[in-house]
Amino acid sequence: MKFHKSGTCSLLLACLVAWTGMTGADALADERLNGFLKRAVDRAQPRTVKIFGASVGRVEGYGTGIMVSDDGMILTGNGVFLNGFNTRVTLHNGRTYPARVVRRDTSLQLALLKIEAATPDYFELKKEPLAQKGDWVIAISNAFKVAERAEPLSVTLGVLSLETRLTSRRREREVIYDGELYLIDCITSNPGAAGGAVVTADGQLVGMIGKLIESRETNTRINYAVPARLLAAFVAGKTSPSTGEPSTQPKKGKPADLGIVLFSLGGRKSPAFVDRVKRGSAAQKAGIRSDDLVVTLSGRTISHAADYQAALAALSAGEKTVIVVKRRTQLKRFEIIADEK
Amino acid sequence: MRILFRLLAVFGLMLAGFENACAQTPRQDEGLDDAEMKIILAAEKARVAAIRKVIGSVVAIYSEIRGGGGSGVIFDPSGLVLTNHHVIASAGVSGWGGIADGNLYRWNLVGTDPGGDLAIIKLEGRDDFPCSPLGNSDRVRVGDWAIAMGNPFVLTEDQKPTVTLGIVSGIERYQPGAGGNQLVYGNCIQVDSSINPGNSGGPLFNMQGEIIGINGRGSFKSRGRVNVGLGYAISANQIKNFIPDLMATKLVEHGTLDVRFGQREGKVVCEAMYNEGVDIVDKGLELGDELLEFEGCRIRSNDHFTNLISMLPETWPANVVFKKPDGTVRNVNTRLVGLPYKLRPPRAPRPAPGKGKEKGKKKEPTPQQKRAQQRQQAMARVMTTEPGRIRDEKQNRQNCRIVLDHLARSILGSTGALQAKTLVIEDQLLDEQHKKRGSQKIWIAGDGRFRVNQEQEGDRRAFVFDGSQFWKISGDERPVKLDLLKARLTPEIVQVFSYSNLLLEEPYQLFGKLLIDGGDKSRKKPAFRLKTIDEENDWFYLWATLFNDRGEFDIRLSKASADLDADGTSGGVLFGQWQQVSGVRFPVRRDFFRGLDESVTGSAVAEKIQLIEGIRASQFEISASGEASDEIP
Repeated sequence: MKFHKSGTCSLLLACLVAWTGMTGADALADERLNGFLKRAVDRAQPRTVKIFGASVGRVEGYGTGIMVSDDGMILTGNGVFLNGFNTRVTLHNGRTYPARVVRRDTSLQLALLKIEAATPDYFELKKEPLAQKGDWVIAISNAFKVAERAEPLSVTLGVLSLETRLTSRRREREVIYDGELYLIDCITSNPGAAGGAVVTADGQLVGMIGKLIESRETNTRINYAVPARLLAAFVAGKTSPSTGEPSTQPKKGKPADLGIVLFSLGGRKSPAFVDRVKRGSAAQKAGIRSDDLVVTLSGRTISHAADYQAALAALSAGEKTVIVVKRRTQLKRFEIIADEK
Repeated sequence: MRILFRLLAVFGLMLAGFENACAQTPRQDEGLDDAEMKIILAAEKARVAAIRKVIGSVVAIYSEIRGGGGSGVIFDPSGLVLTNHHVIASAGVSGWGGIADGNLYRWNLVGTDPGGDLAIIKLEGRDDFPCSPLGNSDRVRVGDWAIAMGNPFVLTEDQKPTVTLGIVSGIERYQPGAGGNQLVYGNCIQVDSSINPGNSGGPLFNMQGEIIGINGRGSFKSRGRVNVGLGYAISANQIKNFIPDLMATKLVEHGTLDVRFGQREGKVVCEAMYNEGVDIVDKGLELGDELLEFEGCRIRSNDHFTNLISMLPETWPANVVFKKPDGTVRNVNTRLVGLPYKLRPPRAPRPAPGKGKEKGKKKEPTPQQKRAQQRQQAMARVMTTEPGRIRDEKQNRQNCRIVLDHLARSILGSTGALQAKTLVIEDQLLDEQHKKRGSQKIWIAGDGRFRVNQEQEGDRRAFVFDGSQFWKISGDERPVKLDLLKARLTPEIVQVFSYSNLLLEEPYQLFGKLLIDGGDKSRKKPAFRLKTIDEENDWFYLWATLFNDRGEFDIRLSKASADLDADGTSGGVLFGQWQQVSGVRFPVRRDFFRGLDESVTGSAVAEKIQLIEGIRASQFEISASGEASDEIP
């Protein structure tokens, strides 16, 4: 790791100068004193963008992204804010362009966007790791939408703590991210930070701030970055080396149907009571009856009819999933294989 | 302590919440060699030394009942402390402050600025409090180290502050206020140093140990009031603009041009005007005019302008450059007007539920409740005083004394070098084109008396101050007594009197009562404006800049005029190029100026300054008959 070593040494030297050269307040001394991150910041700022999209309920309608090609390819964290009609990307110079979603990955929670603009400043996605445990890293993001238009993004300093995986247990500890990640010790788990750049003290891309992961048990969040090599694989459309699964090209098959007709009281907020079950449908085979109240589908909580429709839309035909209903005073769990719509 | 435990619990859960399977690192840790270790240890040592230098100036602020908690920092040995408005808004107008020496000192509120969330309190009991200098926050850059100090979660038991290290995450940030023009953070510094509740009012230091900001808020949202890596500090340069008004014990308002600008096709254009009689409109600004510069800064965007103006107090003399649609460019100076605070009406106390009126018996408040009520009332009085007015004249006079002591020290050091001596200055007199017009010789006695002999194009004039009276002698004519009003309108007298009177115990008393009138600008720097008022309601103004180039609180005489904006008949005098001669500092250059923009009409520049032993009393005496008792040497 030749690069790594030289990087650390120059950083240490910079620190030394910083701490001993405190004689005067002249510009040169100040440069030596504080300038050690300047290069990284100057390099990373023009390669990182603000993304504005749809805000849904309490979910923020903004995020951060990194430019990964010279023709307007931008990586960011997957999220509902990209679902709207009007997703916009603002470059460091304040110029704003409409963006479209090229591809998403639900196992690493990534999204690839495209804007119709040349972006000569971009991050190279290196396959070999540029930093290891204990190295300084700098995270650049638009957490809390502090910056707008041409204003520079927020910069925070931390240390790369560990490369690891998070274990996930169904229904107890659900982790939306399935892959290796870098834990970092600066706080990046903030609204709008996902998609931000995590760079070395030389401004080389180590990874991208991942989508927010919050523990349901403890209500705590972790600060992590998606390693650059996983980003590279996603951008190339190749098999994700972390998951071993086929690539996360929109794998959606044909739209699914369960054969459940919900009781309609009008309005989106009506509870998801089963009005009737279509004959010969998946629901009938599974044992769903009318007057059951749908409680969860595919692990998603269904509090009203709209939730059910959303959960159904995420299924594809032939997929096996679990539906939980309330029948009188009992919760009943059924396995169900979705029909084709 | 409970909070501490809760915090520990959060960290513990964080570890427990996400089990991680440790991935195999692809290589062995290389470790550090001796040279690298040395570097790290040296860096650590230097950092500890830097922190040790300033940690004594950090204050833990408590209310009267030693409850609550905020932070502050001392910027003058007399005990003047910078903190947040929102800290004193809950702590009250007095209380206790602890510093790292372990002692608690009483404090009193001096002045407050709800608009910028800044306040000054004064610790009592010492005149040698440890203090820290204010840095130049315009030089702060993203990526710079930033040390925050204060008393988060009221952790300290021995009054030693908590230190957190981070970097500057953003500069020129704008964080909107709480409504009613209050608590706006304009042009502020964003840091990832941990800022938690209790850090409010505490200093943000750079690595030279200079205060670059006052920490006041963080991005707190759904996660409760704990640090999420985004803290905001009021920039030191904004603070410098407000210190004089705060020391004048005012409720300070922020300034506005009283017109609205908006962004159109990349230009910042005047969009709306609200009121009649707006100064800048009288000076030619019209709807559709493009804003080019404000206070010497090229305006990049409307946000940029909002940031700049949010750093300035009311009555600040602002320089504005704008362009007319026909292409002509205007450069005007105007004093900003105040943005009024909208105060929320006090909430009516709700009757306790269940306990109806039927009993009709009102419970007598406990002594503690009474005191709490009194505190709230005292604070409410502060918030409802007329903005911009001196609230506490006694406090103002005490602060004025601090300013005068600084001014005297700036001239004499601590040596008293002018005692029983005379300062002799030989000046060239220049006109506005810097051409020589004549010469003058000044004698300043250590007891405050002075004499000016001028020679211009063959005319000889002399001005004498004999300790109680001013005299003017034209050529060989008999001396004429000048009354006080005439004297302060005479630039030849003002150029010396403003300086020489600082040698006295009670300077400028001749002109009446002296107070800090407020903040102002002189030579593009924030300045105190001192004002004397006599029985006839005539006044005289002196300006003094606050900080030297090193950021130390070092007050220097900057200008003097009998007229607020020096646009009357007399103009005023600017003092500059201070030079030290035998332990005494004197302004080598004195410029005579006019108007708010301080345009120079002539100058006196010293060619020779010397300090001579003794005072030749006869030089400064005018005999009873009005004859000069000594020939002009």
